[in-house]
Formats: sequence, C-alpha cells, structure tokens
Amino acid sequence: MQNKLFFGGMLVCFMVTNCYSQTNPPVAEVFVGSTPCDVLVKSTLKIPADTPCEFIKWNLSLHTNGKDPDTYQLTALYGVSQPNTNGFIGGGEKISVTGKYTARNNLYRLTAENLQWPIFLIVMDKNILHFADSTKKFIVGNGGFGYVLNKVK
Amino acid sequence: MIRYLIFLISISAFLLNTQPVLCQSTKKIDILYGVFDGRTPCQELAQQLHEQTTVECIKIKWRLILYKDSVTGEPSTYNLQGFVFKRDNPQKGNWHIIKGTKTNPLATVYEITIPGKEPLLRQKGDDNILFFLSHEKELMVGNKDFSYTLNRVEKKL
Repeated sequence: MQNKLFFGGMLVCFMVTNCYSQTNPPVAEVFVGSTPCDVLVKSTLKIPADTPCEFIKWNLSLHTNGKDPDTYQLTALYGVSQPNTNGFIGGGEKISVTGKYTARNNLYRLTAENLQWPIFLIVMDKNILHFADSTKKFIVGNGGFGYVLNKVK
Repeated sequence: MIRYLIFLISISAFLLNTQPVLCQSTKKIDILYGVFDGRTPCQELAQQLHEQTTVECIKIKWRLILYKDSVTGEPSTYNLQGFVFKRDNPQKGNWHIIKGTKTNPLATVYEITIPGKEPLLRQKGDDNILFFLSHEKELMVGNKDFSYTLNRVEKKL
C-alpha cells in the first residue's frame, strides 16, 4: 500500500512538473530597437545585397535559464520607410531566427544556422545592448538610427 | 658707440617684428573634434531639460558639434542643435570630461554645461558613439523606434 502511494505521488509530481514546463515558456529578456541596414547587417541576415533596405526593426528575446549557451529568438523586420511614419512601405519583410547565444566579458555572441555570421552585442548595462563587428568594435550608425537595442520593461 | 646703438635698435626692431608671429603660433583656437547626429525619443528629454512639449512629440533630431583646444587638445566649446535649440540659434557653451556612471566607474563621460540647467551627460562608447545619460548617470533606455545615442557623422557644417 505504501509503495502504491509513493509511486502514485511520484506520478502526480511528474505530471505536474511536465505540465508546468510545457505551459510556461522559458524566462526571457526582450530587447527592441531600430538600426540602419548596412552591408554588414544585410550579409549577416542573408538579405540579398540589391534588396531595398533602409532600416531594420529588431525584437530579440534572450532566454535566461542559466544555461551556457542559452537560446534566443530574433525577428528582424526590414524594408523602405513609409514617409511620416515609423513603419515600412507595404509592412516590410520579416526574418525570424532561433539560435543559441553565449555571454562572455560583457559581449553576447548569437549564432544560428540561418545567419551568415554571428551577431555580436556589447552589453552596456542591463538595459542597453549595442551591435558590434567581429572585432568587437561598435558599429557606427547614422543621423537616423544607431545600432542599439533597448530592454522592454 | 654708434655701432652699438645701431645693433641694439636692429635687435629691438627684429624682436618687435617677430613677437606677434610667436604669439600667434601659441594662440588658442577651437578646432573641430567631431559632429555627432542622432534621433531620440522626445518626452523624457523634455522632462530632463524642464521644457514644455506636446504629446505629439515622439522624436527629437540632434546634432552635437564638439570642439577642442588646438594647443592642449582638451575639450573646449560645443554647439548643440535640436528640440528647443534651433539650428539658427543653437545652444553654445563648454564641455568637459568626467569619469564614471552609475554602473561603470571607469566610463568616460562628456559633461555639457548649459547655464541655469543641470549639465547634459553623454557617455563615450568609443570615438564614434555617444550614449545619453540621465542626471543620475544611468544610460537612458529608448524604444522600438528610437534610441538614446549619437553617432559620429562626416563633417557637414
């Protein structure tokens, strides 16, 4: 009888934890921002060089489950700006990326199969990330946009 | 004796003639350090500057021109355009370098003085990138459309 109760209890615990892990997505920090669409970013996202692209709207979810590497989801919406709006003509084109990232010395390195090169992000503080090139130098923006991602609160 | 006087007059004339040149060569002038442009959200900076604005104001276009001393290389003057500082009547003043932010004691910070207001603070990312800081020396957080940075642009004065 005691054995039956024990195994019954274990089964309930297993079902509860299994159910919990399926319904609760991993904890994520979300960063957003708009950047220019220069050659480096275009090639990283495998956007054809001749595609009209004035800027990119980013949404990055960094999962923080204490793993190394951990996982992330990224969407990049790009295109030509619709005058007098913050959006794109025709809504823009969307790229979705899922991959893994590592955090070393205030630098995130994002990799994925559908990225041409890794994406490097300098951690300025817990709220601000800045795109970097492969030599870990800041990528310079322009008068319209910087290469910054802002944490969503 | 006459020869001695002529020699003295010649030396004096030479010195009087060359002194302005010597002075000119060490005269301080402001030389361009950099032109930095960017677009930021509006409302938070209006609060920071204690300026009135409308709810329709969603972005501010900035240009910060920094000059340095030609002799010492130290920060000297600035010219700030954007928001209430219109292009035809920009804010002008001096800027200095200080150290440390709330999260990074080693960070280089540009302090831009405005008479009657708290100084504006910009954290140096590198030679090309400046980040806006709050009065509490924290990095300001933007949104999906605009961030709080300035980027060095080609000289377009």
